[in-house]
Amino acid sequence: MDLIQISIQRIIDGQGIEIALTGMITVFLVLILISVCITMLPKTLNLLSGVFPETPVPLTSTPDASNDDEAIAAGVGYVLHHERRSK
Amino acid sequence: MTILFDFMSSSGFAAMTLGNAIMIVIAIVMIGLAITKRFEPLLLVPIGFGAIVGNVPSLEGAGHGVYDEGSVLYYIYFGVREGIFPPLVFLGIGAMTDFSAMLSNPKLVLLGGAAQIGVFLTLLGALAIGFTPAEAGAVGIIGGADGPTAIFLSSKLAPHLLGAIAIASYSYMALVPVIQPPIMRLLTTREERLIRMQPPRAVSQREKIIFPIVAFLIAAMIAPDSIVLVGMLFFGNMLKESGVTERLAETARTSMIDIVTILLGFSVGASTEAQTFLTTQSLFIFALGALSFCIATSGGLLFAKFMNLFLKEKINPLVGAAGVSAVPMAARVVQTVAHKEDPQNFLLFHAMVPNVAGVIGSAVGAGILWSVLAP
Repeated sequence: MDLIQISIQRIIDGQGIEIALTGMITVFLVLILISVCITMLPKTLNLLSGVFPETPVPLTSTPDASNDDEAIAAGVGYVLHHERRSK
Repeated sequence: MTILFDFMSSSGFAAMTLGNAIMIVIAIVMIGLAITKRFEPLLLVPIGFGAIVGNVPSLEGAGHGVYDEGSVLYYIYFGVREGIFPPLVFLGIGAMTDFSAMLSNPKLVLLGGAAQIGVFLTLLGALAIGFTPAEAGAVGIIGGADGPTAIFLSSKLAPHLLGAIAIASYSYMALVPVIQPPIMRLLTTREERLIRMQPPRAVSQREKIIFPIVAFLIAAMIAPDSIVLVGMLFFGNMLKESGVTERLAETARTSMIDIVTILLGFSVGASTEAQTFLTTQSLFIFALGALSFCIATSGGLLFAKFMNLFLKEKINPLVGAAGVSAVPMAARVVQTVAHKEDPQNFLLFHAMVPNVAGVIGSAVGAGILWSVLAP
């Protein structure tokens, strides 16, 4: 293999342009269709919600928020205390 | 004494070549960068150590390397050679990816597609230099900025280049914070960098459950050779979003992906024996890899500016740079560059859309190249 010379003929012989165009067009086609489906999904689900209503997520599966609030407050308090001490 | 001399002549010192020594030094540098600069440590440490192991020479016929049938490394490398490990990595990636950003702002998905221009223009460059079409396809996928995809495709199209392509891919992924910002500043104006984007809408759980099925069907029906990578990506995401398989999702995004990463990284590193890695081809692969990253970044940026010609609600073009698949590093870089211009401009969530779209786009691109270029 001759790696020193750059040759446009090799691109033509290797069908490079066709492969590149096929690849880009296909990638864009897939992503455009995904994008269109995502756009239509909420509207479709709204139409179906009359027949298949969405079940709300049970609140019992949520961790106790008050414990998180206390931990967060403790963390913020520690940081403020540390910063004031360093000043 | 004869036994002693015979033993000494069978040692690594006797068989060491300059190439092996250079590779061991390169491997130590990689490990050093991973530990001190935190450049993709989860990949560069296994790859680096694997490269040290792979470059300790042994007697001809001793059969310890990845290419020696029957050796332990040969069997570990089987997962790379046969394209098994990368889809498993994609399974883990799917199980840790939140597609909410994409579902809330689908037009940004196209920026992930635009960034794939890096793959195909690099393919043309590789052809022009003299790589065969299959080799050019394997080299071009470096522009997808997706390590598992690069390893998967090169194992199918050009296994003899896998070591160089893998190391180039992961090295440039680690260098995204260095490569991208200058290009982002060069191709955008200050006014464009200050654009603030609308907050995303809320996404229902149903949308998150239906999306992986729909997206997989679209990708697989149009590009069937992307089934393996795209299928595992969306299967992992389904495990995460279904709400009833959290145990499997947790395993996929933690233990399983870690095990596969260790085996994949180590065996890829071990495959970089000096005789196969230190070649002129490898130098060209590294050069083309750098070029492909730059083209991919530019492609996403410029396409965002093009879209703004038609949109009332403008896109901040910086977000286009996240179209390279280096998740989530590229999105973080977008946030960092935007933050420097305006500390109150938060683009991370928006940048995740082209970032994950780029993963899908590069997987589809790899499927197309595999179907067209496979020997």
